[in-house]
Amino acid sequence: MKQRYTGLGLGLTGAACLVLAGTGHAQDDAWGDFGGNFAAAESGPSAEALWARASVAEGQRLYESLCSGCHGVNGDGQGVAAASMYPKPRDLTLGEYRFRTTLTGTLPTRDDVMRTLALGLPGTAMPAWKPLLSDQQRRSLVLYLETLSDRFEQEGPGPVEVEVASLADPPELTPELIDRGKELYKELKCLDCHGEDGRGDGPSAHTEKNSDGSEADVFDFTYGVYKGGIGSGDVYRTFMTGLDGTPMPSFSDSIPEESDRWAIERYCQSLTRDRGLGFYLAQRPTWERPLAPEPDPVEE
Amino acid sequence: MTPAHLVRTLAVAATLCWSPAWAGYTVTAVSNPATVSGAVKYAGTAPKPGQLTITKDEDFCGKKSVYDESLLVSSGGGLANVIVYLDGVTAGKALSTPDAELSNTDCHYIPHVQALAVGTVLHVTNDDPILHNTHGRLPQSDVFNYALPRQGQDIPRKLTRAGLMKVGCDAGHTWMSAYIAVFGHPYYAVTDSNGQFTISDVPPGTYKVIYWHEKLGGKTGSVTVSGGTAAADLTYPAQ
Repeated sequence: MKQRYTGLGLGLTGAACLVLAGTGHAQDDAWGDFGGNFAAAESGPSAEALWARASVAEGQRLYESLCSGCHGVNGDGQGVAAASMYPKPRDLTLGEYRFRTTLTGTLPTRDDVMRTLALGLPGTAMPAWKPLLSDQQRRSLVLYLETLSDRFEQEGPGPVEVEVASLADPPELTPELIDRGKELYKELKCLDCHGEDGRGDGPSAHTEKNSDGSEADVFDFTYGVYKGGIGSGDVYRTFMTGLDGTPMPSFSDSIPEESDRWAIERYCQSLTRDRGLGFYLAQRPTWERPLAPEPDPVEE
Repeated sequence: MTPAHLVRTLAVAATLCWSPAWAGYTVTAVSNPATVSGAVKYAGTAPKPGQLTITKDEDFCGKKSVYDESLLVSSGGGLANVIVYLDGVTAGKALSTPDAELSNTDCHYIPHVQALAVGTVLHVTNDDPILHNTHGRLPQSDVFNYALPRQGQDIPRKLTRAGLMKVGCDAGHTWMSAYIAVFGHPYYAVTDSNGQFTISDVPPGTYKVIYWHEKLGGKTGSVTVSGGTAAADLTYPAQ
């Protein structure tokens, strides 16, 4: 547990340093996620045009100034800051990416890498770059990352396992859905690793290794800091694709029903409710306080 | 297998150029084809395969004995599960890609070692009523990692990358292991329980013969053929 906080602390420190250094100003389409559609959609540049504007040279420049401290000048994960980190920075020369929408054992789509760069990996030292880098700068970084492993040239992205669009339309959250998820969590043996209560303490939890030889840190759902995100479809995506380079496998063949996939996600998230890191930090001065939400102070 | 052993194994594999180096292979009619066959032997006394220790799902996996298949020697000294291939064949017969299977049966893999061509559909199956987590990996990166929580499950996966895969079970069955060699050309074989192998339709020429065994490592030989048959025997020294 202590190691996790170390990683988080480093991440925050790292992000703070970068802010102080004033690197990378959000540029041209920094407003892209504002949500409003001010221009007619047809008038905007196409995805192809945007990718055509990105450049490996710019990506390399950004990589060397922002990423190499952890991921290493050559991308091998041996940057000067790597020794003190847990989890370790990824070795980008392997071309092995954990957070994807593609089939187990295949390369991610460019959008998958864009997403990780934008949002970072909560609970690790990998910061969210969206506040610091424009979409265009991150596109250039993606192009540069693709040059670090031969796999991109030889294979290209793998077949898509999870359509991003389908993740945006979850079913209504009901107690029955969570009950179904609980049933499946047992039936599919999620508890073999993640434990009966989702604390990451199942019977297989301490036998497995990651591909880099480190002990696999089986996810504790009650901890509440999800590397892959806690938004709609994030857990769904993770158990469908698996996490390459870790013991977490793909369950895509095991859960044919769309509604069951949502049920598992909702059950896993329900294990976290009111019990995550945020909860502990917020509640710290008065541990004994009941779990019921406090009345809104503004209304009192 | 200890981590050090695995590292050594993978290092041997890497030195023997198990990489997608066969991208340039072309299919042509083979005139004056030859057959390379041979016997791979182990010079020492045939060891008695030890029983593996079951550390999880003892109720099911402990019912039948699971044996160590990492060094299987026949009464005549034949060494099973050696992967043999001809290096440097750039043109020849078509790749053969009938569907293949890797089965989780009684808490071990069947087969323990197999060699397949790129493009083959591998069926990863589970005969057991428990969770298996079949994780196939090339030295650098994962090829697949499937959960098989249901008995009778059958997951087809097309193999697109050449190389030597190590397969293990991440459902706590740390004793389970298998190897799958995937080739971009068709000139390979795996020795049978008597150590015998046959590679057919070889175009005339001189080739390096590569042998690889999970415990005894890599060896190289040489063979020159021009039609007919040629022998490529090998004896591993005792360990």
